[in-house]
Amino acid sequence: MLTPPPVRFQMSMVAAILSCLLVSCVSLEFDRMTGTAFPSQHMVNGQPVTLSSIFDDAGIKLTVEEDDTGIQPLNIAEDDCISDAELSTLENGHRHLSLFPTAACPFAFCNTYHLYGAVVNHYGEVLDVCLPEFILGKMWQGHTRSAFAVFYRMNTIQSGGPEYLRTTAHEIGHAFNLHHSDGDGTSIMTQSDDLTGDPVYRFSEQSRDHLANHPGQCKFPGAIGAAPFTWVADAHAVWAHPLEELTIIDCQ
Amino acid sequence: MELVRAARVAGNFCFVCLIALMVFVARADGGLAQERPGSLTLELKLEIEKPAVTLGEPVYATVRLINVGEMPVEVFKLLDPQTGALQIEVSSASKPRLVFLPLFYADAVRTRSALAPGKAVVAVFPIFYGALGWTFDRPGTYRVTAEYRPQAGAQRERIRSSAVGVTVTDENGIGASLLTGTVASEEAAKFLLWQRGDQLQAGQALLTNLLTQHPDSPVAEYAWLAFGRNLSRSFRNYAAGKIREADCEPALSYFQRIRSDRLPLFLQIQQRLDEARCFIKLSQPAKARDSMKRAEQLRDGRPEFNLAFQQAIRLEPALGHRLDIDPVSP
Repeated sequence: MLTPPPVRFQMSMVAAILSCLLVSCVSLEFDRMTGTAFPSQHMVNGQPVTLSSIFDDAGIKLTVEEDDTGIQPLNIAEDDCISDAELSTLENGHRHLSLFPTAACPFAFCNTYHLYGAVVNHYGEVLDVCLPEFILGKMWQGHTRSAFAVFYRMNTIQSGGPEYLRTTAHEIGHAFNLHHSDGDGTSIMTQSDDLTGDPVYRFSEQSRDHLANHPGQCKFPGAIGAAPFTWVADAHAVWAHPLEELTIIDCQ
Repeated sequence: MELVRAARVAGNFCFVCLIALMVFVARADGGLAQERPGSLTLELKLEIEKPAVTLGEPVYATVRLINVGEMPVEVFKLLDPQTGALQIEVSSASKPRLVFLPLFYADAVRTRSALAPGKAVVAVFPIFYGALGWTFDRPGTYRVTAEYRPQAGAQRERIRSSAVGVTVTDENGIGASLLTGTVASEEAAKFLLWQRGDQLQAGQALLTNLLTQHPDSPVAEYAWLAFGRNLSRSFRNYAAGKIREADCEPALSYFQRIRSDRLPLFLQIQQRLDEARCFIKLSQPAKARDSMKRAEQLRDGRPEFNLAFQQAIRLEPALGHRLDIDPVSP
């Protein structure tokens, strides 16, 4: 049931791939349902902050391709939460980019990695139960970390521009194998419940170290042979791979 | 003599000071305990209702976080690997350490609340399939442990449960026919996990085949339940761009084939709640009331099943005030 991507989208993808000739980058295919909006830029100290600028600041080239903006929400009167199975159909039906990276040159350093994101006009579900005003976002395809959704029905998302931008960057952070323990109390990966001061729109030093210095398979969404999304043990990237196939050294 | 008396007075003074200091320190300790409880305040218990299963049979964990201290402790309201509050580890001869990775990882807000002394937070969730595939993917003995991971807040210490053993056998190769390493096998696992998923056609076909060839297999009960639960609820299929409405008659016919006593209690309750919802949709209030009563008997006041009731009532509010189901009955 996959439809070919529109020409405009294909052209922008070609441009994104070409821009990754010298350094790996990540292309975010971003969809949204009608009645929602993409996170808008936020002014911090007179400077505009966007998803791309947050990642650029940490040395990651993220290209946001706003793709399908007219997905009609499928509303069920008695159930305003979307289940994981239903989210999975959203990706199946609307994702154009492959799960795996494309290469602009024959080397590992010039890949374009693919990430799928969607802003859904529903609440999220957990433990097979609809709990409105509880779930902000989800990341899935955990073995390669290459899809996420933000739940626009949440008041925090709908009414709080900066919080919305921060939540989206946070979910993308998970796709880069960043964890809540990578937060430092105010940075992007700190959960809102755990903020110890005013939130900032940048990654912590620990996160930046990961994004700058760890191998592609440990950080890029959808990398071939990717380290699955899992728990950080002590220092960042010192994690035990669930199948013990990647050693600690592989990700350092 | 003056010196001796002076020394005695000074000694008494020091003794009084020492006692005062001890009282002060003891009080300060008590004050500290309120804010920063130690690891002795929480206990984590893991239970697996069916510790002996056949290959491919879904496994559910029940995790109980108990405040065994004397002060309220701030804890996660929902214990679930999806929200990161909890980590499940599985080890076996073939996999020294597998950290169970759920298919979806969720970020939540207002996640914590105070747990009073003697009270517990309890949750039941599936652990048989995740982002890394089937957890119990071959016959053998597995050790499962849970770890509570508070991450932030006053209580930061991780708390581990004791290990629980799970023995997996392959009854007549039935499991091997399900765990084939194919797309159909992965889809079948997702269908058993989510108990819904119209798009998982290859997985549903594999389960249908299993039901035809091995109707007595323990996996069969879970498959009937998944097919029934799927149809008892509407489904948003964004790949097809439409909603498939709930279809209660076939859902109930699936439920009728289940030998419920072979299922974990949690799933028996889900079956009864879905039956009750379907009977209301089909205007059979007496049967709905009967199913709801059976669900409540199975729950027996246990908090780990509250969310399942909450969801059933959300989908069918009449279940929340049973008089609406059958106004004639007392």
